[in-house]
Amino acid sequence: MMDRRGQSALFDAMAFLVIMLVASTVVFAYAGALRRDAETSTTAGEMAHTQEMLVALLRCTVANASYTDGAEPVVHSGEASVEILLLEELALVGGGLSNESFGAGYNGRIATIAASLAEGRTWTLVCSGPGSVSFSVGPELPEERSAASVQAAMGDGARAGITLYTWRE
Amino acid sequence: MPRWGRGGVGGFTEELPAMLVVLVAVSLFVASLATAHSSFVERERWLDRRESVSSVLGLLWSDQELTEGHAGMYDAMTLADENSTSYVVSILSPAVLGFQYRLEITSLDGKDLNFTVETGQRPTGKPTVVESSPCNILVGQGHVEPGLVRITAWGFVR
Repeated sequence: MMDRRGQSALFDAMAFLVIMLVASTVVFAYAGALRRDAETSTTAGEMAHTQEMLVALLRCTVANASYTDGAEPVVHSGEASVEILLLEELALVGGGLSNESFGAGYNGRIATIAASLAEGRTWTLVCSGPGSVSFSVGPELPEERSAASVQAAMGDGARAGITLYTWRE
Repeated sequence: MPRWGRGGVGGFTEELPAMLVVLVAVSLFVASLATAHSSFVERERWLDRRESVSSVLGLLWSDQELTEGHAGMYDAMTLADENSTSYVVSILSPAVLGFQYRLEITSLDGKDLNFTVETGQRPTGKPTVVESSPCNILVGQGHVEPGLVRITAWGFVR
């Protein structure tokens, strides 16, 4: 039989073990978080990707993009860069044309290019011009996202902003 | 007067179970500290390697020879030139970089354009770092396609 002193020492040791178990669990959790952190992309990396994606997207060319003006289909003959198409859309939306006029033959083709450059990320493109004219292509923005913007001159010299948001689901 | 009995010297055998429990507790904590330290060192090394590989993408992005002066826009004609492979290896020497790599520049427009440079045989099971970046490919007559530069690196010497 263990005497009172031995029982007391064992009780102290068990209390110490419990404290060490809790401390070890915290340290193991920290080690796991470090490992996961190394495998996922860094914020700086995501921002750099968004910037490169925006630059690459705006330079891509689209041939014969088309939209509808009322019931009339309008074909943008020849090749035009995505940047020019977006600025033209902004001017037309500012002139009263609805967003729905720029369907699969216009925004749909821009979206196809953007999706190929996004490498698994979800994205939204927001264009805004003078007089609070703006439109967006893509889903609603979440709180955590990366963004990249450029300013461009429209045909009449007015400034327009094109912003690309990307995030991982 | 006996100097020891069932309790051993100074009651040592009474303290033995307690000592074993303390040893287990301390060992567990030391093991967790060692794991955290190794994770920290591994993470730092991984981030360093990713940074090195990303800097290669940055070099390619602005290389005058491959992009004809338009950063991030690779000329399909230049990539098709057989001297381009040796040019890339000359500016991105594995001996200087400290790792072997496979570089791919591909068109995302469904075209059969795939420029590949591989500096060595990739060993299976070894850690690799993969970094990629969107780019453009200029395909004659002003037609610009979306593209992707991907670099897979392995065999890090540091």
